[in-house]
Amino acid sequence: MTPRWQPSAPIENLLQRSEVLWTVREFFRHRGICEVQTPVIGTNTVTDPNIESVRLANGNFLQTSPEYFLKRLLASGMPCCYQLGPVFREGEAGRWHNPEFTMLEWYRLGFTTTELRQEVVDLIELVLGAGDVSEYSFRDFLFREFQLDCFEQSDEELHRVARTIGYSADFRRADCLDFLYSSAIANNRDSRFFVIDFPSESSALAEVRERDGHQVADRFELIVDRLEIANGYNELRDPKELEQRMERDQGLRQKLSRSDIRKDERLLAAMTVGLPRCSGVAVGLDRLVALTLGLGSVQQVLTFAHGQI
Amino acid sequence: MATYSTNEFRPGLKVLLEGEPCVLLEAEFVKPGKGQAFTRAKFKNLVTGRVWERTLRSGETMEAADVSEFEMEYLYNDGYQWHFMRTDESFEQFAADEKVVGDAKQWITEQDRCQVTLWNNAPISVSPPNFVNLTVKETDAGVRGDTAQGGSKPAVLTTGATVRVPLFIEEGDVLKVDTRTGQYVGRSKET
Repeated sequence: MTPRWQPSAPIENLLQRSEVLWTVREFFRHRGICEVQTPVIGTNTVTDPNIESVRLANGNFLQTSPEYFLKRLLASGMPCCYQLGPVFREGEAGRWHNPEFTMLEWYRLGFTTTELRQEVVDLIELVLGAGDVSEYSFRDFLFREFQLDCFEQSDEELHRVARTIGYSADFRRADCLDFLYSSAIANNRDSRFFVIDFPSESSALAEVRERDGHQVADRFELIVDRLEIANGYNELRDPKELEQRMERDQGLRQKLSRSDIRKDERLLAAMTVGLPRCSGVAVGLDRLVALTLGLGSVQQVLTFAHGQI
Repeated sequence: MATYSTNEFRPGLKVLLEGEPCVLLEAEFVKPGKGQAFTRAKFKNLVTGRVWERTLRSGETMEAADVSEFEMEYLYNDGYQWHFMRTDESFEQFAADEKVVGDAKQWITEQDRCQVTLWNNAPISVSPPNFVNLTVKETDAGVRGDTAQGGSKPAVLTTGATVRVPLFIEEGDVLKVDTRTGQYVGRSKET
Protein backbone atom coordinates (compact mmCIF):
# COMPACT_ATOMS: atom_id res chain seq x y z
CA MET A 1 0.00 0.00 0.00
CA THR A 2 1.26 3.48 -0.83
CA PRO A 3 1.86 5.43 2.38
CA ARG A 4 -0.20 8.56 2.83
CA TRP A 5 2.17 11.23 1.54
CA GLN A 6 -0.18 14.14 0.98
CA PRO A 7 -0.26 17.12 3.37
CA SER A 8 -2.54 17.07 6.41
CA ALA A 9 -4.10 20.40 5.47
CA PRO A 10 -5.88 21.11 2.20
CA ILE A 11 -3.78 23.51 0.10
CA GLU A 12 -6.57 26.11 0.37
CA ASN A 13 -6.12 26.18 4.17
CA LEU A 14 -2.38 26.65 3.78
CA LEU A 15 -2.93 29.66 1.53
CA GLN A 16 -5.23 31.18 4.13
CA ARG A 17 -2.69 30.38 6.83
CA SER A 18 -0.15 32.40 4.88
CA GLU A 19 -2.56 35.38 4.96
CA VAL A 20 -2.83 35.13 8.75
CA LEU A 21 0.98 35.08 9.04
CA TRP A 22 1.15 38.26 6.95
CA THR A 23 -1.46 39.93 9.15
CA VAL A 24 0.50 39.05 12.28
CA ARG A 25 3.84 40.26 10.93
CA GLU A 26 2.32 43.50 9.67
CA PHE A 27 0.74 44.05 13.08
CA PHE A 28 4.14 43.90 14.76
CA ARG A 29 5.93 45.89 12.11
CA HIS A 30 3.32 48.59 12.48
CA ARG A 31 3.92 48.76 16.23
CA GLY A 32 7.69 48.80 15.85
CA ILE A 33 8.25 45.39 17.43
CA CYS A 34 11.15 43.58 15.87
CA GLU A 35 11.18 39.94 14.82
CA VAL A 36 13.99 37.78 16.19
CA GLN A 37 14.97 34.18 15.60
CA THR A 38 16.47 32.29 18.50
CA PRO A 39 17.75 28.68 18.40
CA VAL A 40 15.33 25.79 18.26
CA ILE A 41 17.94 23.61 20.00
CA GLY A 42 19.32 24.51 23.42
CA THR A 43 21.47 22.84 26.03
CA ASN A 44 18.82 23.72 28.61
CA THR A 45 15.06 23.65 28.77
CA VAL A 46 12.16 24.42 31.12
CA THR A 47 12.01 22.71 34.50
CA ASP A 48 8.17 22.91 34.57
CA PRO A 49 7.04 19.41 35.67
CA ASN A 50 4.04 19.49 33.32
CA ILE A 51 6.04 20.21 30.19
CA GLU A 52 8.14 17.45 28.65
CA SER A 53 10.91 18.51 26.30
CA VAL A 54 12.16 16.45 23.39
CA ARG A 55 15.69 15.37 24.32
CA LEU A 56 18.13 14.83 21.48
CA ALA A 57 20.73 12.06 21.39
CA ASN A 58 23.50 14.53 22.30
CA GLY A 59 21.62 15.62 25.43
CA ASN A 60 20.34 18.92 24.00
CA PHE A 61 16.69 19.84 23.94
CA LEU A 62 14.25 21.08 21.36
CA GLN A 63 12.86 24.27 22.85
CA THR A 64 9.31 24.24 24.27
CA SER A 65 9.13 28.02 23.91
CA PRO A 66 11.64 30.75 23.00
CA GLU A 67 11.21 32.33 26.44
CA TYR A 68 14.68 31.76 27.87
CA PHE A 69 16.53 32.95 24.78
CA LEU A 70 14.26 35.96 24.38
CA LYS A 71 14.82 36.96 28.00
CA ARG A 72 18.58 36.72 27.50
CA LEU A 73 18.17 39.10 24.56
CA LEU A 74 16.06 41.51 26.62
CA ALA A 75 18.65 41.48 29.41
CA SER A 76 21.25 42.48 26.78
CA GLY A 77 19.35 45.54 25.61
CA MET A 78 17.09 44.15 22.90
CA PRO A 79 13.98 46.34 22.58
CA CYS A 80 10.41 44.93 22.34
CA CYS A 81 10.58 41.83 20.16
CA TYR A 82 8.68 38.80 18.97
CA GLN A 83 9.43 35.34 17.66
CA LEU A 84 7.17 33.35 15.37
CA GLY A 85 8.34 29.81 14.90
CA PRO A 86 8.23 26.13 15.83
CA VAL A 87 8.36 24.81 19.40
CA PHE A 88 8.22 21.21 20.58
CA ARG A 89 6.52 19.29 23.39
CA GLU A 90 6.96 15.60 23.87
CA GLY A 91 3.79 13.53 23.92
CA GLU A 92 1.28 16.30 23.24
CA ALA A 93 -0.88 14.96 20.44
CA GLY A 94 -4.59 15.35 19.91
CA ARG A 95 -7.15 17.35 18.02
CA TRP A 96 -5.82 20.62 19.45
CA HIS A 97 -2.23 19.55 20.09
CA ASN A 98 0.68 18.62 17.90
CA PRO A 99 4.14 17.78 19.33
CA GLU A 100 5.64 20.43 17.01
CA PHE A 101 3.59 23.59 16.83
CA THR A 102 3.94 27.24 15.97
CA MET A 103 4.29 29.72 18.77
CA LEU A 104 4.07 33.47 18.56
CA GLU A 105 5.73 34.99 21.58
CA TRP A 106 6.38 38.64 22.28
CA TYR A 107 7.68 40.91 25.01
CA ARG A 108 6.74 44.48 25.81
CA LEU A 109 9.10 46.56 27.92
CA GLY A 110 7.34 48.56 30.62
CA PHE A 111 3.91 47.05 29.88
CA THR A 112 1.60 45.86 32.63
CA THR A 113 -0.40 42.70 32.00
CA THR A 114 -3.49 44.92 31.57
CA GLU A 115 -1.76 46.80 28.74
CA LEU A 116 -0.53 43.58 27.20
CA ARG A 117 -4.02 42.04 27.33
CA GLN A 118 -5.28 45.00 25.32
CA GLU A 119 -2.57 44.40 22.73
CA VAL A 120 -3.53 40.72 22.56
CA VAL A 121 -7.15 41.74 21.96
CA ASP A 122 -6.04 44.14 19.20
CA LEU A 123 -4.20 41.34 17.43
CA ILE A 124 -6.98 38.79 17.90
CA GLU A 125 -9.57 41.23 16.54
CA LEU A 126 -7.41 41.92 13.53
CA VAL A 127 -7.28 38.19 12.76
CA LEU A 128 -10.68 36.92 13.98
CA GLY A 129 -12.76 40.09 13.76
CA ALA A 130 -14.24 42.18 16.56
CA GLY A 131 -15.98 40.53 19.49
CA ASP A 132 -16.72 40.96 23.18
CA VAL A 133 -14.03 39.82 25.58
CA SER A 134 -14.92 39.16 29.20
CA GLU A 135 -12.51 38.78 32.11
CA TYR A 136 -12.58 36.62 35.24
CA SER A 137 -10.15 36.05 38.02
CA PHE A 138 -9.24 32.37 38.33
CA ARG A 139 -11.04 32.32 41.67
CA ASP A 140 -14.29 33.82 40.31
CA PHE A 141 -14.10 31.63 37.24
CA LEU A 142 -14.12 28.41 39.28
CA PHE A 143 -16.64 29.83 41.72
CA ARG A 144 -19.14 30.67 38.96
CA GLU A 145 -18.91 27.16 37.59
CA PHE A 146 -18.64 25.00 40.70
CA GLN A 147 -19.52 27.30 43.64
CA LEU A 148 -16.21 26.48 45.24
CA ASP A 149 -13.43 28.74 46.40
CA CYS A 150 -10.06 27.57 45.16
CA PHE A 151 -8.27 29.33 48.03
CA GLU A 152 -10.52 28.39 50.92
CA GLN A 153 -11.88 24.94 50.06
CA SER A 154 -10.34 21.85 51.60
CA ASP A 155 -8.59 19.23 49.47
CA GLU A 156 -11.44 16.79 50.17
CA GLU A 157 -14.07 19.24 48.96
CA LEU A 158 -12.15 19.98 45.74
CA HIS A 159 -11.80 16.30 45.09
CA ARG A 160 -15.47 15.62 45.82
CA VAL A 161 -16.59 18.25 43.28
CA ALA A 162 -14.09 16.99 40.70
CA ARG A 163 -15.38 13.44 41.13
CA THR A 164 -18.99 14.47 40.54
CA ILE A 165 -17.99 15.69 37.08
CA GLY A 166 -16.01 12.62 36.07
CA TYR A 167 -12.52 13.10 37.50
CA SER A 168 -11.12 9.65 38.11
CA ALA A 169 -7.38 10.25 38.51
CA ASP A 170 -5.63 9.97 41.87
CA PHE A 171 -5.78 13.06 43.94
CA ARG A 172 -3.28 15.87 43.89
CA ARG A 173 -4.58 19.32 44.66
CA ALA A 174 -2.83 21.02 41.72
CA ASP A 175 -4.09 18.37 39.24
CA CYS A 176 -7.57 18.67 40.65
CA LEU A 177 -7.51 22.44 40.10
CA ASP A 178 -6.17 21.94 36.55
CA PHE A 179 -9.00 19.52 35.90
CA LEU A 180 -11.67 21.84 37.33
CA TYR A 181 -10.20 24.72 35.33
CA SER A 182 -10.25 22.68 32.08
CA SER A 183 -13.83 21.61 32.78
CA ALA A 184 -14.91 25.17 33.52
CA ILE A 185 -13.41 26.25 30.18
CA ALA A 186 -15.21 23.43 28.38
CA ASN A 187 -18.52 24.54 29.93
CA ASN A 188 -18.14 28.30 29.47
CA ARG A 189 -20.29 29.77 26.71
CA ASP A 190 -18.48 33.12 26.35
CA SER A 191 -16.74 33.18 23.00
CA ARG A 192 -13.70 35.15 24.21
CA PHE A 193 -12.53 35.69 27.74
CA PHE A 194 -9.46 36.24 29.87
CA VAL A 195 -8.71 34.39 33.06
CA ILE A 196 -6.33 36.35 35.30
CA ASP A 197 -4.74 36.06 38.74
CA PHE A 198 -3.93 32.35 38.83
CA PRO A 199 -3.10 30.58 42.10
CA SER A 200 0.54 31.25 42.93
CA GLU A 201 1.39 27.50 42.57
CA SER A 202 0.90 27.88 38.82
CA SER A 203 2.82 31.13 38.50
CA ALA A 204 5.56 29.59 36.28
CA LEU A 205 7.66 32.68 35.45
CA ALA A 206 5.10 35.31 36.44
CA GLU A 207 5.42 37.84 39.26
CA VAL A 208 3.28 37.07 42.28
CA ARG A 209 1.09 39.79 43.80
CA GLU A 210 -1.50 39.99 46.52
CA ARG A 211 -5.18 40.14 45.76
CA ASP A 212 -7.94 40.00 48.41
CA GLY A 213 -5.45 38.61 50.91
CA HIS A 214 -4.21 35.82 48.64
CA GLN A 215 -1.00 35.42 46.70
CA VAL A 216 -1.82 35.23 42.99
CA ALA A 217 0.28 35.04 39.85
CA ASP A 218 0.12 38.16 37.65
CA ARG A 219 -0.66 35.99 34.70
CA PHE A 220 -3.47 35.72 32.14
CA GLU A 221 -4.86 33.28 29.65
CA LEU A 222 -7.06 34.11 26.70
CA ILE A 223 -9.69 31.52 25.84
CA VAL A 224 -11.40 31.68 22.45
CA ASP A 225 -14.21 29.24 21.70
CA ARG A 226 -13.10 27.06 24.62
CA LEU A 227 -9.49 26.91 23.39
CA GLU A 228 -6.51 28.29 25.25
CA ILE A 229 -5.03 30.76 22.77
CA ALA A 230 -2.66 32.97 24.77
CA ASN A 231 -0.77 32.81 28.04
CA GLY A 232 0.89 35.96 29.35
CA TYR A 233 2.90 37.12 32.36
CA ASN A 234 4.18 40.10 34.15
CA GLU A 235 7.67 38.64 33.93
CA LEU A 236 9.43 37.59 37.10
CA ARG A 237 12.68 39.55 37.45
CA ASP A 238 14.19 38.33 40.71
CA PRO A 239 16.90 35.73 39.87
CA LYS A 240 16.82 34.31 43.43
CA GLU A 241 13.09 33.71 43.21
CA LEU A 242 13.50 32.15 39.76
CA GLU A 243 16.18 29.81 41.07
CA GLN A 244 13.94 28.75 43.96
CA ARG A 245 11.07 28.02 41.58
CA MET A 246 13.36 25.96 39.37
CA GLU A 247 14.48 23.96 42.40
CA ARG A 248 10.88 23.46 43.48
CA ASP A 249 10.12 22.17 39.94
CA GLN A 250 13.09 19.82 40.13
CA GLY A 251 11.85 18.40 43.43
CA LEU A 252 8.39 17.90 41.98
CA ARG A 253 9.82 16.24 38.86
CA GLN A 254 11.69 13.82 41.06
CA LYS A 255 8.56 13.01 43.07
CA LEU A 256 6.64 12.35 39.84
CA SER A 257 9.58 10.30 38.49
CA ARG A 258 9.97 12.60 35.52
CA SER A 259 13.35 13.21 33.94
CA ASP A 260 15.77 15.49 35.77
CA ILE A 261 16.23 18.92 34.17
CA ARG A 262 19.18 21.19 35.03
CA LYS A 263 18.69 24.83 35.92
CA ASP A 264 19.53 27.12 33.03
CA GLU A 265 22.55 28.92 34.49
CA ARG A 266 22.81 31.23 31.49
CA LEU A 267 19.27 32.50 32.05
CA LEU A 268 19.98 32.97 35.75
CA ALA A 269 23.17 34.89 34.93
CA ALA A 270 21.27 37.14 32.52
CA MET A 271 18.59 37.80 35.14
CA THR A 272 21.24 38.66 37.68
CA VAL A 273 22.46 41.42 35.37
CA GLY A 274 18.81 42.40 35.05
CA LEU A 275 15.73 41.72 33.00
CA PRO A 276 13.96 45.04 32.34
CA ARG A 277 10.43 45.37 33.69
CA CYS A 278 8.27 43.79 31.01
CA SER A 279 5.27 41.62 30.18
CA GLY A 280 5.31 38.79 27.67
CA VAL A 281 2.77 36.52 26.05
CA ALA A 282 2.74 33.40 23.91
CA VAL A 283 0.01 32.62 21.37
CA GLY A 284 -0.72 29.23 19.84
CA LEU A 285 -0.65 30.22 16.21
CA ASP A 286 -1.93 26.97 14.69
CA ARG A 287 -5.00 27.15 16.89
CA LEU A 288 -5.54 30.77 15.98
CA VAL A 289 -5.40 29.90 12.27
CA ALA A 290 -7.79 26.97 12.78
CA LEU A 291 -10.24 29.29 14.57
CA THR A 292 -9.93 31.85 11.80
CA LEU A 293 -10.91 29.22 9.27
CA GLY A 294 -13.62 27.78 11.53
CA LEU A 295 -12.00 24.34 11.69
CA GLY A 296 -12.14 21.67 14.37
CA SER A 297 -8.48 20.69 14.68
CA VAL A 298 -4.94 22.02 14.28
CA GLN A 299 -4.12 19.18 11.88
CA GLN A 300 -6.24 20.91 9.24
CA VAL A 301 -3.88 23.87 9.18
CA LEU A 302 -0.55 22.02 9.45
CA THR A 303 1.37 21.02 6.35
CA PHE A 304 2.33 17.65 7.77
CA ALA A 305 0.95 16.78 11.19
CA HIS A 306 2.20 14.29 13.74
CA GLY A 307 1.74 10.78 12.31
CA GLN A 308 2.34 11.96 8.75
CA ILE A 309 5.87 13.22 9.04
CA MET B 1 -4.44 -9.04 32.94
CA ALA B 2 -3.83 -6.76 29.95
CA THR B 3 -4.04 -3.02 30.50
CA TYR B 4 -4.27 -0.01 28.21
CA SER B 5 -2.57 3.30 28.84
CA THR B 6 -4.44 6.52 27.90
CA ASN B 7 -2.02 7.01 25.01
CA GLU B 8 -3.21 3.72 23.51
CA PHE B 9 -6.86 4.82 23.70
CA ARG B 10 -8.80 4.45 20.49
CA PRO B 11 -12.51 4.09 19.84
CA GLY B 12 -13.74 0.52 20.20
CA LEU B 13 -11.36 -0.45 22.99
CA LYS B 14 -13.01 -2.65 25.64
CA VAL B 15 -12.05 -1.80 29.19
CA LEU B 16 -13.23 -2.26 32.76
CA LEU B 17 -14.56 0.87 34.42
CA GLU B 18 -15.69 0.54 38.03
CA GLY B 19 -15.67 -3.22 37.46
CA GLU B 20 -18.05 -3.04 34.50
CA PRO B 21 -17.23 -3.79 30.87
CA CYS B 22 -17.30 -0.68 28.70
CA VAL B 23 -16.44 0.27 25.16
CA LEU B 24 -14.45 3.45 24.57
CA LEU B 25 -16.46 5.77 22.29
CA GLU B 26 -14.07 8.71 22.04
CA ALA B 27 -11.04 10.14 23.77
CA GLU B 28 -9.60 13.62 23.66
CA PHE B 29 -6.22 14.85 24.83
CA VAL B 30 -6.66 17.89 27.05
CA LYS B 31 -3.82 19.93 28.47
CA PRO B 32 -3.72 23.40 29.91
CA GLY B 33 -0.44 24.95 28.73
CA LYS B 34 0.91 25.09 32.27
CA GLY B 35 -0.98 22.20 33.75
CA GLN B 36 -1.38 18.48 33.99
CA ALA B 37 -2.32 16.57 30.79
CA PHE B 38 -5.62 14.71 30.84
CA THR B 39 -7.53 12.37 28.63
CA ARG B 40 -11.24 13.10 28.53
CA ALA B 41 -13.03 9.95 27.43
CA LYS B 42 -16.55 8.70 26.83
CA PHE B 43 -17.36 5.09 27.60
CA LYS B 44 -20.50 3.12 26.93
CA ASN B 45 -21.33 0.58 29.58
CA LEU B 46 -21.90 -2.63 27.65
CA VAL B 47 -24.29 -4.02 30.27
CA THR B 48 -26.56 -1.02 30.82
CA GLY B 49 -25.91 0.95 27.63
CA ARG B 50 -25.32 4.08 29.72
CA VAL B 51 -22.66 6.52 28.55
CA TRP B 52 -20.08 7.55 31.15
CA GLU B 53 -17.71 10.48 30.83
CA ARG B 54 -14.45 10.21 32.67
CA THR B 55 -11.28 12.26 32.79
CA LEU B 56 -8.05 10.43 33.48
CA ARG B 57 -4.59 11.74 34.03
CA SER B 58 -2.53 11.09 30.89
CA GLY B 59 -0.46 7.94 31.25
CA GLU B 60 -2.94 6.25 33.61
CA THR B 61 -3.93 2.73 32.67
CA MET B 62 -7.21 0.84 32.54
CA GLU B 63 -7.73 -2.88 32.70
CA ALA B 64 -8.79 -4.51 29.44
CA ALA B 65 -12.20 -6.23 29.48
CA ASP B 66 -12.47 -9.69 27.95
CA VAL B 67 -15.37 -8.80 25.68
CA SER B 68 -16.21 -10.33 22.32
CA GLU B 69 -19.17 -10.33 19.99
CA PHE B 70 -20.52 -13.26 17.99
CA GLU B 71 -23.32 -13.92 15.58
CA MET B 72 -25.61 -16.48 17.20
CA GLU B 73 -28.82 -18.18 16.27
CA TYR B 74 -31.69 -17.83 18.72
CA LEU B 75 -32.77 -21.39 19.54
CA TYR B 76 -35.59 -21.27 22.09
CA ASN B 77 -36.85 -19.85 25.33
CA ASP B 78 -37.27 -22.32 28.18
CA GLY B 79 -39.52 -20.04 30.21
CA TYR B 80 -36.87 -18.05 31.97
CA GLN B 81 -33.78 -18.18 29.77
CA TRP B 82 -33.15 -17.53 26.10
CA HIS B 83 -30.77 -19.96 24.40
CA PHE B 84 -28.40 -19.06 21.58
CA MET B 85 -25.87 -20.98 19.48
CA ARG B 86 -22.81 -19.67 17.68
CA THR B 87 -23.14 -19.77 13.87
CA ASP B 88 -19.44 -20.40 13.22
CA GLU B 89 -19.89 -24.18 13.40
CA SER B 90 -18.48 -24.34 16.91
CA PHE B 91 -22.10 -25.10 17.98
CA GLU B 92 -21.25 -23.54 21.30
CA GLN B 93 -24.42 -22.61 23.20
CA PHE B 94 -25.11 -19.79 25.63
CA ALA B 95 -28.08 -19.00 27.83
CA ALA B 96 -29.09 -15.42 28.57
CA ASP B 97 -31.58 -14.26 31.18
CA GLU B 98 -34.29 -11.66 30.68
CA LYS B 99 -32.15 -8.73 31.87
CA VAL B 100 -29.50 -9.54 29.25
CA VAL B 101 -31.92 -10.10 26.38
CA GLY B 102 -33.67 -6.84 27.25
CA ASP B 103 -35.61 -5.18 24.44
CA ALA B 104 -34.49 -7.82 21.97
CA LYS B 105 -37.01 -10.26 23.42
CA GLN B 106 -39.94 -8.44 21.85
CA TRP B 107 -38.47 -8.87 18.37
CA ILE B 108 -36.77 -12.25 18.10
CA THR B 109 -38.22 -15.56 16.98
CA GLU B 110 -36.52 -18.93 16.73
CA GLN B 111 -33.71 -19.13 14.15
CA ASP B 112 -33.17 -15.36 14.01
CA ARG B 113 -29.51 -14.42 13.85
CA CYS B 114 -28.56 -12.07 16.64
CA GLN B 115 -25.38 -10.35 17.77
CA VAL B 116 -24.51 -11.57 21.24
CA THR B 117 -21.86 -9.82 23.32
CA LEU B 118 -19.93 -11.99 25.78
CA TRP B 119 -17.99 -10.78 28.79
CA ASN B 120 -15.78 -13.39 30.45
CA ASN B 121 -17.61 -15.87 28.23
CA ALA B 122 -21.10 -15.02 29.49
CA PRO B 123 -23.70 -13.05 27.49
CA ILE B 124 -24.16 -9.43 28.56
CA SER B 125 -26.24 -8.10 25.68
CA VAL B 126 -28.23 -9.29 22.67
CA SER B 127 -28.94 -7.26 19.55
CA PRO B 128 -31.76 -8.49 17.32
CA PRO B 129 -31.43 -8.42 13.51
CA ASN B 130 -32.00 -4.87 12.17
CA PHE B 131 -35.11 -6.04 10.36
CA VAL B 132 -37.50 -8.79 11.40
CA ASN B 133 -40.67 -10.20 9.83
CA LEU B 134 -43.46 -10.72 12.33
CA THR B 135 -47.15 -11.66 12.12
CA VAL B 136 -49.91 -9.39 13.43
CA LYS B 137 -51.74 -11.14 16.27
CA GLU B 138 -54.20 -8.42 17.16
CA THR B 139 -55.31 -5.14 15.64
CA ASP B 140 -58.56 -3.22 15.31
CA ALA B 141 -60.36 -3.46 11.98
CA GLY B 142 -59.36 -0.52 9.79
CA VAL B 143 -61.54 2.56 9.88
CA ARG B 144 -63.10 2.89 6.46
CA GLY B 145 -62.04 5.71 4.14
CA ASP B 146 -59.14 6.86 6.28
CA THR B 147 -56.26 5.34 4.36
CA ALA B 148 -55.55 8.46 2.30
CA GLN B 149 -55.12 10.48 5.49
CA GLY B 150 -52.10 8.43 6.51
CA GLY B 151 -53.77 7.45 9.79
CA SER B 152 -52.28 4.74 11.96
CA LYS B 153 -53.28 2.32 14.71
CA PRO B 154 -51.49 -0.02 17.11
CA ALA B 155 -50.92 -3.67 16.16
CA VAL B 156 -49.73 -6.40 18.55
CA LEU B 157 -47.29 -8.86 16.99
CA THR B 158 -46.80 -12.53 17.83
CA THR B 159 -43.71 -11.73 19.89
CA GLY B 160 -45.67 -9.29 22.04
CA ALA B 161 -44.29 -6.08 20.54
CA THR B 162 -46.70 -3.28 19.63
CA VAL B 163 -46.03 -1.16 16.54
CA ARG B 164 -47.94 1.65 14.83
CA VAL B 165 -49.24 0.44 11.48
CA PRO B 166 -51.35 1.91 8.63
CA LEU B 167 -55.09 1.36 8.91
CA PHE B 168 -55.24 -1.25 6.13
CA ILE B 169 -53.17 -3.79 8.08
CA GLU B 170 -55.16 -6.82 9.23
CA GLU B 171 -54.63 -9.63 11.71
CA GLY B 172 -52.47 -12.35 10.16
CA ASP B 173 -50.48 -9.92 7.95
CA VAL B 174 -46.71 -10.35 8.06
CA LEU B 175 -44.90 -7.08 8.67
CA LYS B 176 -41.32 -5.98 8.23
CA VAL B 177 -40.19 -3.98 11.28
CA ASP B 178 -36.99 -2.02 11.93
CA THR B 179 -35.93 -3.19 15.40
CA ARG B 180 -33.63 -0.17 15.92
CA THR B 181 -36.51 2.29 15.77
CA GLY B 182 -39.41 -0.07 16.49
CA GLN B 183 -41.11 1.20 13.35
CA TYR B 184 -43.21 -0.52 10.75
CA VAL B 185 -41.40 -0.62 7.40
CA GLY B 186 -43.92 -2.42 5.18
CA ARG B 187 -45.83 -5.59 4.56
CA SER B 188 -43.51 -8.52 4.04
CA LYS B 189 -43.64 -10.76 1.03
CA GLU B 190 -41.91 -13.48 2.99
CA THR B 191 -43.90 -15.51 5.48
